[in-house]
Amino acid sequence: MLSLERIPDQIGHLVLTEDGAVLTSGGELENDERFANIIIGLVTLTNKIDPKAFPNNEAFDKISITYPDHCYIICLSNKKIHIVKKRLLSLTSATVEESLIDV
Amino acid sequence: MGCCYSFCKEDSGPQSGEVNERTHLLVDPVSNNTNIPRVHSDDYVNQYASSAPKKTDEQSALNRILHETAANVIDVGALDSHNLEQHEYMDRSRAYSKRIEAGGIKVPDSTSCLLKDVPAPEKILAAEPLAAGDHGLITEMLNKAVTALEDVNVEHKEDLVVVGISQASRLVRRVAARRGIDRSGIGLLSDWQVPSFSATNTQEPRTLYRRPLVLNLPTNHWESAHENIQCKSTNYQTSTGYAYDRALLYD
Repeated sequence: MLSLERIPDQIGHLVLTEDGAVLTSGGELENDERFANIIIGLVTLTNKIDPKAFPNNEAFDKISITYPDHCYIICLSNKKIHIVKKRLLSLTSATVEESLIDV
Repeated sequence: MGCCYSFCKEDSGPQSGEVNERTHLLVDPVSNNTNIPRVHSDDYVNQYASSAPKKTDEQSALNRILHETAANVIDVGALDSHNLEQHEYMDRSRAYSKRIEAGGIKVPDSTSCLLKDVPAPEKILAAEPLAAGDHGLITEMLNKAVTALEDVNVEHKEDLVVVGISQASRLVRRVAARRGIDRSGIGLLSDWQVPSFSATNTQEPRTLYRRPLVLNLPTNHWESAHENIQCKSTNYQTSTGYAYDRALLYD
């Protein structure tokens, strides 16, 4: 329905309702309800954001989950949760991997 | 000969309804049907119309079958055709909320979301997930935190005093006394024979014993390191020499 498939480097997308039902999906995230549940758990993890860190009671535009070679970007629009899985460039993955091993 | 048909025929006969030598003991519609050499459409009509004993013509019987079938069928496809109009939706919403209010039921709040609603998701989703600078900052902070956590250790300030058994037994006795239990007759041997000492008085004779830390090396070579722990226990008060002997064994 949206042009999520046209996003560069995307390898999977998912559109959920706010209660976690899969509306549309594609790529590696096709009909991935397990992943949808994880995402819902993440975005509804807390009902309060630390007011010291974020004084204006603001919410976030997007949540990024970054792995060495891929990432997930989550955002809310029109009461639907949009998730895109993207491939990351190998240049950044090398540096990230190194730092993760250090940890 | 069909079951219903045979009934109709027998109704006209003199022995209708009576048990005779031609009456079937078991009602078996399959075998009954096989007896019919030639099946007329009238037979079927009579079969289906058996609930209505009066004579009906073929057309009305077929119509009745049609109506009955239509009444028994639930057309799932037709159910979706009813769409809620906007005003109908509002009416229902109002009615439901009024009912909820009347019942005094607390409806749980809709779960809050960390994200806020944004107008154009494609733009945000297409953007870089995380700026390189932010990523570097997060990684650096994380590394520092991990390093700091690894460096956490206990600073040695004063001697480690291990509370001897006598204090524990005194505690037990105190608890027993508070609960009104007389333990004088039922006390454990260890409760009685160990002389009491003060845990705060570090001037009392102290037993030094060493706890070996054994490292398992790949060549099966056992090496022990020693960690000095000063143990103060009344058990060793009278046998300091023994305790030292034991400590020496580890060297």
